[in-house]
Amino acid sequence: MTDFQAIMPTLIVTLTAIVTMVAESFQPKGDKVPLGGLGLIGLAGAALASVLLWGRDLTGFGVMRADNFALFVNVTLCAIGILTILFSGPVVDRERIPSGEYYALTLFGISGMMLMAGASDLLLIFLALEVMSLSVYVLTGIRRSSEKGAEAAFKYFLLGSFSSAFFLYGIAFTYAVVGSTRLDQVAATLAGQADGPSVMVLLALGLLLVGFAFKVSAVPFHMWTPDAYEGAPTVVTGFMSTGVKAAAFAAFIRVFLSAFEPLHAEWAPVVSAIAVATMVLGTTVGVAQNNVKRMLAYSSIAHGGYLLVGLVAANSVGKAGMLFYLLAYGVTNVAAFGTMALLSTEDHPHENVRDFAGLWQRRPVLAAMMTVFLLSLGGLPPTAGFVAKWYVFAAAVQEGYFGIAIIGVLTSVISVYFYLRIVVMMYMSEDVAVDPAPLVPRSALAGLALATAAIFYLGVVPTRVINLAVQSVQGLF
Amino acid sequence: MALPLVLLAVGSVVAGYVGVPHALGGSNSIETFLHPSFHPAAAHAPAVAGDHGPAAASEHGGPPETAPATTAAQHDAPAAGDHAAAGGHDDPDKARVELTLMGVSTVLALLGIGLAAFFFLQRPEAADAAARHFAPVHRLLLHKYYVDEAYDAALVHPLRDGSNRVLWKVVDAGLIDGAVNGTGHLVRESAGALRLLQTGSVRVYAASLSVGALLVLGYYLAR
Amino acid sequence: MSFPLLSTVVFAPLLGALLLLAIPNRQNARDGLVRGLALGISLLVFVLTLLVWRAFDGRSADFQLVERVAWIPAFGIEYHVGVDGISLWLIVLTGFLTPLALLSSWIGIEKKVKEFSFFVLALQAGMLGVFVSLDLFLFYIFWDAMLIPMYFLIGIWGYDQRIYAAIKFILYTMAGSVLMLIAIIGLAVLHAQATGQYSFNLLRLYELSIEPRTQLWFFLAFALAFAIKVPLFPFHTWLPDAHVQAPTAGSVILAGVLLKMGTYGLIRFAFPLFPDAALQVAPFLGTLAVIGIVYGALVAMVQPDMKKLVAYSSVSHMGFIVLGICAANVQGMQGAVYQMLNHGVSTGGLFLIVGMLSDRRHTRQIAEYGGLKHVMPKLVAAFLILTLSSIAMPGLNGFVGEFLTLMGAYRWRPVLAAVAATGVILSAVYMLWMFQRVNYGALTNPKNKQLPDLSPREWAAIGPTLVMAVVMGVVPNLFLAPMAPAVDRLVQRLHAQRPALARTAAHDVVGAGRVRRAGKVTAGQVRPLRVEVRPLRVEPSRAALSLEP
Repeated sequence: MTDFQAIMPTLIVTLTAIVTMVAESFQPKGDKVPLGGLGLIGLAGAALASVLLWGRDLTGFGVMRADNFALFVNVTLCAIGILTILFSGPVVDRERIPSGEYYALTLFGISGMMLMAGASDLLLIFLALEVMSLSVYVLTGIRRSSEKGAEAAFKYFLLGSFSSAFFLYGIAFTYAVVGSTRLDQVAATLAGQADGPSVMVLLALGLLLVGFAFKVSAVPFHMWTPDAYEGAPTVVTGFMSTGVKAAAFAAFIRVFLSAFEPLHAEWAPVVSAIAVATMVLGTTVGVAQNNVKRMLAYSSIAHGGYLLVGLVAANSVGKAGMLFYLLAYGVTNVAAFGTMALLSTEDHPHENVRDFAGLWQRRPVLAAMMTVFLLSLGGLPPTAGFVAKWYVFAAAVQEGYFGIAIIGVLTSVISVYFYLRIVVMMYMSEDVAVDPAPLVPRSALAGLALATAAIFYLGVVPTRVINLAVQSVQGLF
Repeated sequence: MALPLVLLAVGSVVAGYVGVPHALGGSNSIETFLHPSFHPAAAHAPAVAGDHGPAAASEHGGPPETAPATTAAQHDAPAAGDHAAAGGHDDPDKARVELTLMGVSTVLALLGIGLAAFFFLQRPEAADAAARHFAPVHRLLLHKYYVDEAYDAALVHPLRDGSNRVLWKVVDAGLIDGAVNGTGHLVRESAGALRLLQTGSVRVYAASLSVGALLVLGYYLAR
Repeated sequence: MSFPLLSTVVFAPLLGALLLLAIPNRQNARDGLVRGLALGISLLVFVLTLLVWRAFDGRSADFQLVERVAWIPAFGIEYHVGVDGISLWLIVLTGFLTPLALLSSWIGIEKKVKEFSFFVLALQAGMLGVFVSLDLFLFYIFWDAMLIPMYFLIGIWGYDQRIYAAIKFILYTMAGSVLMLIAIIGLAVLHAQATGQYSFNLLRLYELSIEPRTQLWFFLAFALAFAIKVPLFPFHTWLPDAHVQAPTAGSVILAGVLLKMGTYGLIRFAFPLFPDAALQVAPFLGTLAVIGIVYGALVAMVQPDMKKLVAYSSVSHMGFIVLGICAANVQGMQGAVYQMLNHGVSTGGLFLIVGMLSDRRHTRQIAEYGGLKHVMPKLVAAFLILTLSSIAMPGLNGFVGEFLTLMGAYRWRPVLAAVAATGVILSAVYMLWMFQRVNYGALTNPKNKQLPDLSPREWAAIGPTLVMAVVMGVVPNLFLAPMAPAVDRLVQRLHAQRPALARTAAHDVVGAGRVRRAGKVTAGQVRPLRVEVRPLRVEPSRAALSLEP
């Protein structure tokens, strides 16, 4: 029975996904079943299940952990999913996206992500990765009429398969050395090797590293990111830039900080180099973007770099910091993309920097909330983004990684430049848009307000969430 | 014009009473003006700061207000001002110097007033005669020894033009602010260059992925 | 626990700002109400700051009205505020200038009055927060958060180049302060290595003994952040841009209070946290300050724009403050603090005057004016008093501060003091020259013929600065006395005998006696913590630093 209890959150989301899919095919023509509402209920249930499982440290079927770490990530994913669905309503109608498929795929994606966060076996991680990725590939190209969308989905799919191959090879090499793909056994074997790691182990490590680096869009494995993010429907971009990242990082942390923790000295230099390259390239190239979706794509690459800083530090501060970061970044980024999605109209995507000109005059509340999201992404107090950045840099400083921390803070100043470009447009430029702004439904506004409140909550009184994050990483090993 | 002059005259008569010299039995009421900065606690700062530059040595040449602080430090007197006042009364030499200075300046002032009264009130024509007589000297005096002109040429113009053309437009706007803005430009230029890597071609993307993988694996194989 | 006066002072403007946001103001119908309410809130805050003064015991050097609540216990972060003789006056100054800034924008600000007032009050809350924070994390939050309202004030209500100036302001300041953030974290980590617990408590961190090289790096990180804010030569170029482009209220607050945060940071954080490094670097900083004094004055002299002239004069005047701090003796420090207040009053007042002229003529070019004393004698009289205050005429406030700083500097480095003294002369040159060109001579420009003189509202804005310029010049003791104990303690701390850190500078002895517990953290009271730690440096230590709350 504990087996099923342990996978309860994932189970609930998966069942909801199936119900959603079935419900659409049985609905009478012209009738509209509120499928989004169904998804919301499912995600709320999954979040509730995660909260109830807190502290019980169950394991399902030997490979699926329901430790606090996985549960924290689950709640983060539910928050991301709930916000995504709240913003999706008008988008699905406007873009004439088949709603059953859309919501079902989103929910399947989330169930894959949850699997990824809890899996303690490399093969299960791979399966979860594929469940998640396939859903997201399809979501990327779900606007059948959009050429950009099709191209983005195709690129994402091709490169994603390429990287999955690396990942799979890594698993194979690991199995060859250890004789098992279970993380605890990998850790035990690696810790037992007295005379340093063999070439085989190092290759396994490198291949897994490449696989994860692709999923978290770290440089130089990031090339797909801007194109895929730009081509996908904006609300999907918000979902995949946060959900995928959160799940991938959860698995990354579990694999590298438990199974491959004994080899920290081997992978830390490589991950440091990747982190630095990611932070620098993400923020720098972001400066040159005029398309806000691409700009935020580079910003999300850079945020991956900051998260990697926590991974390099590899201490308890870093692990808890990454969890906090994923939550803060997830809520913020989904909301930022959501705002853009809500502002778009059928024939005018609200994507260019210039589209934001004078938004303050037209939509003061939306502009104010967007400003909060951007300031949080830029890491200015008193927002969640500041505490998150402070947390991972504190981890780095504690381990003496001053160089990385300094590069991190300086690049985040660069990133503030391009976030502020949007603020400048919204507040300091003359109103140029002529087409009437679309109607934003109350549910979506509520989602934005919720995200804003969460950002200030995490930025001003992060105490409780920090304590939970600290608890989450205690049981990890 | 008369009113401002009257005001100034009144002021010059009254202002002196802020500090009547000790020799005349007065006391200096402006001395405690900045008292909290020189109270006893302040005095031990230089003592502690023994290793902190030539502070102690330079104090003796300082303006009058420093002297009480130093003496206070040496004698540990309760309050700096009282101590100085007491010293003024006891010392006959000091009183003599004060009286001499007062006498000389009073005599000089009276001489000046007398001269002015003679030239302006009694014999105005004498002034003109003197001016004609000593024409070059008169011109020199009239132009105040050409001090203004010399200042203009030697100080004012070079300073103004130098500040304008060099300090402001070259150093400040060019070098210092140029460095600040240059940093911004550098970031923007490199951003423009780096974005060209993003060609949109899947082959390039796959190549980048492969190069990255080769670098990572090569690093591990090479060790 | 007694009434949390300081928290009330800090958060009252923020609450007021939020209250303003709640007022519906369609089509600007309620602009008058919003203006009045904002002014009322700021006056209330001023009264509150005066209450702080009243509650303050001027004989004590301790922090008073302290409030201390655990905030993020996992990192020993506390909500910890308090006030001493140094911060007391800066708080009062902030309370004093904000209503004046609001009054000054009565006419100049026409669009989005509600939002404007919101940002001014939010800015005030941030500045007050900076001055009362005794926890470095809390301090940094206020320090950085305060940039946001200022950015909007310049960027929305500024002049032509406002966007450039706003972005330059925020990015330049942030670039400096993020390195300080790293140093702050580093300090907390050092504290954890020494005692086993994180702390951002300033009073505890004062007691840390830090190995010289680490001290130097950390000091430089702090000093850079503050030097940019001051701004110290050569980090000053954001200031003229920001000043010229900002609306009058922005300039008044920027010059009056914001710049003081830099010098305050040096006094409160950089110098006492890293005394060895500070005294080591002080001659270098002092030299930069003196260069800034002369350079700022010379460049101010040739500015055709009044606002830019006053901005460069700030570079010069702020140099005196840094010089006084670097002297690190009682006169220098007191002069520095006093000069901070003076500069707030006189430069704030000058920006008010320039704003009034600019409200009337929409230009700040000196060449556009001339002979103003014929049309508006009252404004010119106020202008004159502020000019004289700015050039440190005895009897007005500027004299006291400059005299004390020069005295302190002279006792430290006579040569620096001598060069700095030329700045006094040059300040008379550029200020009087501008005054003469603007106000004397014939009224040549016909556009100036019909200019109205000071209105009652303008009197209300400018009058208080005039009164303060005289009061502070005549009875400086009123202000100097309460700050004296705190300044004395600071100077003693800087020159205190420390356990010979410099001599045992064994850089490579890592971990020798690194962790020695000295005193348990007891919440609610601050006991001096004597950490007898030998050279300590930040090294990757895998030593278990437990994070359990």
